[in-house]
Amino acid sequence: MRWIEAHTIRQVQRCLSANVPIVGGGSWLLSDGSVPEAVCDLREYPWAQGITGNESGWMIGPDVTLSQWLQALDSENVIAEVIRKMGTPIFRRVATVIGAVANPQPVADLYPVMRLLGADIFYIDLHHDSIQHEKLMWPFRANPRALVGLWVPASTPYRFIAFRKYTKGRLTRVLLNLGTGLAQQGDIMTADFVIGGLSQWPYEDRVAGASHSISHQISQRLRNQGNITPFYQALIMEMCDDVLNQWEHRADRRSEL
Amino acid sequence: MPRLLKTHYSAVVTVNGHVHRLTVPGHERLLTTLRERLHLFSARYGCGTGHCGACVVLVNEEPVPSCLLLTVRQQKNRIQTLEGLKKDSLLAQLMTSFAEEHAAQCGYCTPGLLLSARHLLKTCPSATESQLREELSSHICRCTGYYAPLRAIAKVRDSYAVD
Repeated sequence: MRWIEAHTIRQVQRCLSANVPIVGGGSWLLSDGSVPEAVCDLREYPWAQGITGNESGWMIGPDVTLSQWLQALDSENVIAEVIRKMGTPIFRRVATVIGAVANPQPVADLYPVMRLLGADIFYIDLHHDSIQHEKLMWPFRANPRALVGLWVPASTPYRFIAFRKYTKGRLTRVLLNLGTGLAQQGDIMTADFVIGGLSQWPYEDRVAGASHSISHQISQRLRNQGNITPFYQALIMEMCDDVLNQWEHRADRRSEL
Repeated sequence: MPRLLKTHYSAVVTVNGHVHRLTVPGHERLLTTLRERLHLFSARYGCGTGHCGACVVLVNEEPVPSCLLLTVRQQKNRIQTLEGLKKDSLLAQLMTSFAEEHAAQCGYCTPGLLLSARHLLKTCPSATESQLREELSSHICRCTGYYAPLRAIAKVRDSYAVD
């Protein structure tokens, strides 16, 4: 296997045009067991390195592991809550944040909350000679591309974001996850939710109305989907009710994330 | 291609304080290098996917699965295996406690457990029960049921805190 350390956009583009897999931490590559002819390593890419955090948000470079971001976050932060539920401590020390968003999967724990927070990805593709950015959204429209940064804004339209997941065991595949963002204006509540595990790509939807009707509306929406089994419907509703209950009992709903 | 038009690389890796100059294939995992080239057998092959913790080594003092690390990328890192910590007093206490609490049966997962436990007690000497469980969740042990290792680590933690 050839190990290619890309330092310029042109070098990354050459790798992309030759279908060379892009790696950050490389943990997915090794756990997959495959040995491609060559890989393109972005960890030395100079554009974004490490974690940059300020009042406007976080910029995450391709070399940042889940564990490093977790240590930089306030323990009450919803992103920290999600990362703590991802894998085990030793795994989080080698798996990168960019790797977790760059490899689309039916169920991926970081994706729902990153979507709700309005995260942007910075990438290199074959059509532009500069680094591009857009809102994170799976499946990626333009392929191939190499992710070189993740921007997570600190401000969010939601008053409350929650994450729940269902898995049979800590080391087994995640079966379902749910990210919910709640906003309220007067008596009208809005709930955005992103659910992974129901289909090939995470399912996103929004319901709005009086706060007491939100749960019923979500239930209706799930039933209308048609392809969701009664078990998963019940599971999602239990998660939603738990989130709404947590929201109801927050001491100070004005407090932000 | 931009750089490195080859499949084997010269790698200078520092393991247990010794500098080794090796020529390894680009895909060689650190675990393979440790066991097959350096004959350090405390790190074991378990799952190969970073989930079982049998292959844990310390990289820059942090326990990580060596099956998910490539040797060519470890040139700037300090790697430690259990063999390199023979004179470590905390590790000695943990080993004694593991023996006293019958926390090692077949012993396959024990080196990884010891390294993780040592890291936790070094970074967080008064680790709570949930922190102990969280750290141990990185390891699969099919003999002990986890209670004995938990007891053994808690015992050292308590005496460590008193010290």
